[in-house]
Amino acid sequence: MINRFFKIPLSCLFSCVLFFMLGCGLKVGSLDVGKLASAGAGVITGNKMSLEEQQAVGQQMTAIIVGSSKIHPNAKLQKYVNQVGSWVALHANPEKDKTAQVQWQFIVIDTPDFNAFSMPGGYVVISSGVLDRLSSEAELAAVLAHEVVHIEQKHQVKAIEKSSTFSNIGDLAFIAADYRQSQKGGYSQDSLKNRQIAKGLFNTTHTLYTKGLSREDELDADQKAVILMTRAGYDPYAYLAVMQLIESIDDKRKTLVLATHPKPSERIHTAFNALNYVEKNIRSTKTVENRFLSSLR
Amino acid sequence: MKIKRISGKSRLLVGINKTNQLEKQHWLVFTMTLFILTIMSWQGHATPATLVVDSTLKDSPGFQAKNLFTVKKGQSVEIKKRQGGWYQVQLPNKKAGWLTMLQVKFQRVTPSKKKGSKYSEISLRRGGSNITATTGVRGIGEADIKNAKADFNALEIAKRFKVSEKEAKSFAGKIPLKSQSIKYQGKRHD
Repeated sequence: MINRFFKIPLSCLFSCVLFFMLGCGLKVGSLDVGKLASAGAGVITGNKMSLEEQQAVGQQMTAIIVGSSKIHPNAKLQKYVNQVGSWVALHANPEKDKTAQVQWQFIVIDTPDFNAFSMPGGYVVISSGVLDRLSSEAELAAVLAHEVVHIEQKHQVKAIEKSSTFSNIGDLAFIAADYRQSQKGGYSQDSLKNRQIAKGLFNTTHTLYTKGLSREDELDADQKAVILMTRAGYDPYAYLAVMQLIESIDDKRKTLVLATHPKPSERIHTAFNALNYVEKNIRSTKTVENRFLSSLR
Repeated sequence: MKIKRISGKSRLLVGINKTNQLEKQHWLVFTMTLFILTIMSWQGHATPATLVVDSTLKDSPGFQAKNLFTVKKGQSVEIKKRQGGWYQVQLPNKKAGWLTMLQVKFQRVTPSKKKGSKYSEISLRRGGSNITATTGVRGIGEADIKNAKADFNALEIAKRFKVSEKEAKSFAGKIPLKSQSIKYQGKRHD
């Protein structure tokens, strides 16, 4: 009884604060909390997340993924991966709306595992362990193209929207903004509620990036990535070489890839079919080995 | 005496010149060796692979190319290079030829179990580079994502490396990489 008595005023208070922020366009750090809060409202009423809302949520998720390792200290390498990734991404057609478009950002993390992640809104994270094992720019383009397709086709966004456990994603983003501020030792609203919902955001990210997307979405990304890299002028057979490489890597070095993707043999089959489709476009494509090797030095 | 002294001096001069020449030669040999080693380190990373079917090797990449000899399934080979959908492979007896990519599987790279064996794994890597600066061999696992702290400072750093459309186009133009217009396929054909 007492619990119920307190619950109503608390939710009222929270709604009031939310309403106040929407009205004022309050900013916390670089995040527009008002917009993040409205993202929550959209999802709760069953609407799709807007691009801006995807970016806000994607940013939080990227911070968590990068936080699970650390950013690679080599500036030249970070720039190079952004150059390759941005060139590939120019050949994709991600969602656009009146106010926003996907902002591509590629980040290298420093870990020996073979991993790559994509987050809503245009964030791609790739491990240095991937770069260590590749032999050419076309192979790097292959890995990045796969992640770019996930973002272009909104595979993660759709997974978030579909899942009932993620129904309060706007709340999560809203509180994550506050969480960021509280980490710096300042601003905090309702610490109990915040902690609860920040934990929710971590759980969302954890589930998405350790359980993975559906088999259909992964194979769709393989098929489209072969085409995307060919559009960008890269030799698409490099995609097949990367699949063969993944198959050969020790399981301990690709635990997340194994847990979140179909079997390499199945992926090779899908990539091979897509290669037949782009066969007539292969003549003018390039592998680019020298620039890749010199950028890694 | 005078002549002797001059000749002594000239002998000394000759000696100095010889030393200079020797130093130059040493320097040249050193540079050449370094150059050759660098080239070898770039190109010496052949990938160990195994034939998955009995295969007839070709003298160049292409189905119309001349047949060389047949190799049995299970044979170990080293992949030297790739051209389109073809690999150039070399047998232990140094005979070489071309076959299609899917006629081979890369051999599994298993890290050595010896203590401090990080480098033995790296030496087997195809790319031949080692840019991973992390000491220790642990990577990201499920638990790392679960226990991660959001790193917003890293995102601020990463922003500096963002590339504009114009920059990306100029980067591609240096090779040059040529854009092509290709539609995505409809339904996936399994």
